[in-house]
Amino acid sequence: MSGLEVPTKGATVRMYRQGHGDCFLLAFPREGGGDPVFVLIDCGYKPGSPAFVHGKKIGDVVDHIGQTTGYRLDLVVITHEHQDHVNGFWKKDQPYFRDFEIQEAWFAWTEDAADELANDLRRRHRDQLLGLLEARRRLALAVGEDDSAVHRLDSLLSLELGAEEEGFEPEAFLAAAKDPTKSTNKQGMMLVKDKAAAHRGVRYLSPGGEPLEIPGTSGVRAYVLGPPRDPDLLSDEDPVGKEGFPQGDSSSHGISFGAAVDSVTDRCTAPFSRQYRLTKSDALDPSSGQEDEFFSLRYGAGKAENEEADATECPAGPSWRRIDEDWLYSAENLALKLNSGINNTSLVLAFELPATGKVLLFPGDAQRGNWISWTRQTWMDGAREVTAQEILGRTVLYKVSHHCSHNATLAGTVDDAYPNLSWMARGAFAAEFTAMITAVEKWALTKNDPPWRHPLPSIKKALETKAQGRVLQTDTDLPSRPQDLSEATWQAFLSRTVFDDVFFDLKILDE
Amino acid sequence: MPWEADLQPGPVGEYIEVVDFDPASDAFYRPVDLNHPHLLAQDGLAPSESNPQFHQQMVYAVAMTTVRHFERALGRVAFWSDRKTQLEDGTYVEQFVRRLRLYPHALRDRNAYYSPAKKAVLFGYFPVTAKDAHNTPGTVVFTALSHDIIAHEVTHALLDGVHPRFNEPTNPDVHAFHEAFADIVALFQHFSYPSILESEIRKTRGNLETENLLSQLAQQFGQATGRGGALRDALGSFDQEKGEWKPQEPDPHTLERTLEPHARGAVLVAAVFRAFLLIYRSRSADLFRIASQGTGVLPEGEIHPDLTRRLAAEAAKCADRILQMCIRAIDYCPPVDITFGDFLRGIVTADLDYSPGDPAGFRLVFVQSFREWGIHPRGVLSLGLDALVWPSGEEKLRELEDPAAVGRSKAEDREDLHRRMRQSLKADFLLDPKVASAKKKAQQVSPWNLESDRFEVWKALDGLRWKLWRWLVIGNGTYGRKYAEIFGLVVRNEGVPATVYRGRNGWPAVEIHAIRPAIRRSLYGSPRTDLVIEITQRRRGYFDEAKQERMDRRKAAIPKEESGDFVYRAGCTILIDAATQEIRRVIRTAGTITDDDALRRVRSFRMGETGVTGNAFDAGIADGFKAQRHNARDEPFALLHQSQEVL
Repeated sequence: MSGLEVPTKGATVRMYRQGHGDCFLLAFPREGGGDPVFVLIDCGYKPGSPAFVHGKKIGDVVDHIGQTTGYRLDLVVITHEHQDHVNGFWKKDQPYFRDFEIQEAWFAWTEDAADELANDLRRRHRDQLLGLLEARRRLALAVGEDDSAVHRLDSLLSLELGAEEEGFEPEAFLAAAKDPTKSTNKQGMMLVKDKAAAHRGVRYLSPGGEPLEIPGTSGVRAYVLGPPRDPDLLSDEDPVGKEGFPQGDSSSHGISFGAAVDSVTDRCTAPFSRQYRLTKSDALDPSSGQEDEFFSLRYGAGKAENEEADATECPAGPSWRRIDEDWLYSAENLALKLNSGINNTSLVLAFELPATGKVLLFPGDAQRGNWISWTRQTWMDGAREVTAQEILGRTVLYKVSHHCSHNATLAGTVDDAYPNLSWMARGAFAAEFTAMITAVEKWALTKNDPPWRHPLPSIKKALETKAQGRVLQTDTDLPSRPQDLSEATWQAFLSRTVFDDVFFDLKILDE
Repeated sequence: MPWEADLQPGPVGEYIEVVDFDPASDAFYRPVDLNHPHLLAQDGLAPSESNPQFHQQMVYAVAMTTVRHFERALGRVAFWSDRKTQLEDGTYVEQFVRRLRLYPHALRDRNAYYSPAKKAVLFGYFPVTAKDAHNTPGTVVFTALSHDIIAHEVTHALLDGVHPRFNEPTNPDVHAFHEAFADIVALFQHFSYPSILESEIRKTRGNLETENLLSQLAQQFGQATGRGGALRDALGSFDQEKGEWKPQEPDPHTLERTLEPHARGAVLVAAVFRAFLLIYRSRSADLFRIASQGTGVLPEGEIHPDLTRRLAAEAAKCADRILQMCIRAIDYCPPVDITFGDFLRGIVTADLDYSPGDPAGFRLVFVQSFREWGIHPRGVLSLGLDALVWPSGEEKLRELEDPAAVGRSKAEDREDLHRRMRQSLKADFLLDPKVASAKKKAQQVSPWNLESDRFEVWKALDGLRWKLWRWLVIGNGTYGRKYAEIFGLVVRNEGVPATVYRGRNGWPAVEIHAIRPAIRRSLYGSPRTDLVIEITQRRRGYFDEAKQERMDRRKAAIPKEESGDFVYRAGCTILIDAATQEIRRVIRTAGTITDDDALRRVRSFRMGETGVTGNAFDAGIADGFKAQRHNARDEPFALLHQSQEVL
């Protein structure tokens, strides 16, 4: 077993540095001795990003996990279905995790095929994805593959469908969206489910209730904080009413955005009756006899003759005022909403150590809607009621949600009614509070257009203050001691860490 | 509202052209002809959701109402922002855009936005999906049928016509101000519809501090998107969980934690609306006393129709005054980097210049309400009216003088300098020496009233810009440059960082954006015309502070193509009385172009260090990373609106 040291009482959290994405290995002492209990949370990365860390291939990182654990995992947790959390499991023909034994797997309730609400959400997700792919195709036709609006859409869509390589493969994506089992994301999750099914099986978790025992440990437990079972909160800023989307037979269905981009069923209808309408060819060709020159003069076709750049007055129908493709840009907004919707389906787990009650918080990519749901329920520790405020107050390790982005770590004060950073690590727990940011900043800034602000400086700064410098980030070395912190305190932190090319280890003592 | 005299089908008039193309449905809708005898006879089409021609009429009519409010407040014809194009030789030209284009059915989205690039407003429509008491799934919501949405978007366009640089976010207030101002105009326009006003007065029994439609924006849109109430409300909000409306108290700390532009803008709207309520309360108190035997407490039940009418008249008068004050203030704002505090100073100064007496205390009420909402201008030590009023040229001139030198020089010498400076202003700028005839001289700075042809005015103002530039930069003697110093402009090279853009002559470039007339009244009530002039300078900003220092200290000139990571701008707005050659107001940005602290503040905002407004990826500051994006998707307002999925 390659050098993962586990305290006799406590835990070691290994943060892999596989790229822009999450991959965590938690090790707890096994009840009755023997090899540690290994829990893996996610394994994925954005293609292209590893080059900005150490350049190791994902296969090497997975081998490293294998050697550390003897290819035996007691539990695999997959927080949500996004490329940068799951594409390290699967690979066509030769899945990365082929040689692993997985005892048990945990997913959020949103992955449960027996859950009606989950099935609804997935169907909706699939429909929207198909619409977006169509919109993407039409947009690329209109403005060209190289347009940055197309690129932006592509990077969002590849998060949803997953990909092993950089770049966009429209055909593969369309096939994957039509038949979800074909997407790289789904294949990776299926592999984990199949392996777990051969042993103790798969559990789909909903928030609230009793904390779950981590099998094999002596009393380590996990509270399930999210995702909420409220579709409004999942879709976050989209305050859709009780019923959500219109049904297929609704009279207005033909005038939605989705209908207009759907070239297959041709269900698109105009919102007004025929007597008011002119087709494009009739409107723009005055000789059609349909209309006088109104539209050909003001809207035209091709470059208008009167369009001299140096004229001091703008001509009647210049091409720069036309709006033929502008409506398609709505697709980007839809893709963003879809993306935060899936982020909000993140399984949020708070691991609790038995003796001290210290908490390791792993929120996946939870955004605002998921966060604010945590106060809407309580948990039962035997007969005692446990609140989100208490769980967050005992947190000593925070895996920063969604690459430390805007809207994924809420700011606030202790007195605010919604969960936020100030709720974490209260009292004695503050002394060792540590944050882990899974971001490759240089890749995020230079390989995306517009650049992704991962991490967001304002949140990172707040974390650094709160954690007194104890913030680990995928693409950086160990942090240096803040000037106002004593050397002894800093050394106490460093003595709990191990720094390596491919990982950070952080020991957390439970005594 | 009467149609314009020679309104063409579309409608296409002097300011507005409606072009009804629906690209998602691949359909054009025939233009309405409001001058058709049938329609003339019945005052236009009757309201109808299913007739696109009624939609065309609606967007046209509301847009024109908004334009008229602007013109009346500013006392001059309105302009849309110029179309800027780059010619093949690399120089820029500006085109006059006579009409704002309205596309009533441009998008299938819960959205509508003003496009500065297309000089157009794109309205969306969408099927209703929320199911509640107010909505039936299956119906369609057209944003082009919402008075508030139309007024809001057209106001964006009008503000862009005055301040094209208010699109550039350099602090959290800039985008928020655009949104707030658009909301303020839409809100106070409610009061110009007597039937709505009277019905709300009746419903609230004259107490406009309780829930009412006048304070709410985009009712139908808000309900159709599942909000349970209006999209925005200046008085309170709808509590989704309790299912009831609750009023909101002014909170001086809201601004500190609110950064999203619409939410932040809502604070400014609430502050302005509160000013209105305070004034309405004090001005209607006598009516309530008369109607209640002096107690001021009305008996139970409906109020008397006469009282309704009198209260409505009072409310309409107050609302109109407030709206005019707000619109007039936009001439009194710095050309870039606007803050809510600057706007307050603009309101106070513009109102003081427009109506020197203020017996009803409108200005004081504004200050009080803004203070209660925690809006405080930067660099101002007290919120007294004197401290808030923007300084005059004379005051700036006194500041300029070296105190040691003042002690030595004689008062007469200073007087002499000032006199000669004023002469230079008159002879070298206001009156072009090349124009010989006295009659032409007299016309040069006067002919812009509401009857003028807008293109002629545009051309005349365009000529003035060139004259001003020559006077300030090339200078006839040193007086132009002396003025430049007062204005906070840097026109010579000593100690100026290399990153500041230089003109063809090698000196720091000075860009004169706009010159426009503004009317005010003298103490005796006679109207006067001032010239409003906006001047800015540009400097390359770099996200990496070390690189900034390196580039700042570079010996060789930086090539024009090098645009840095972001643009830092500084400058001023000046108001000059053309008749007396008096510099009435000097409104400078927080720093000059060489000010490193101000540059640092913009950098940290653009880097997302002071807070963000966007989504989980680019955090809404993307435009900062590329100086110029030549992309079809260059729509600042669409992005803003979509991140909130509202207007």
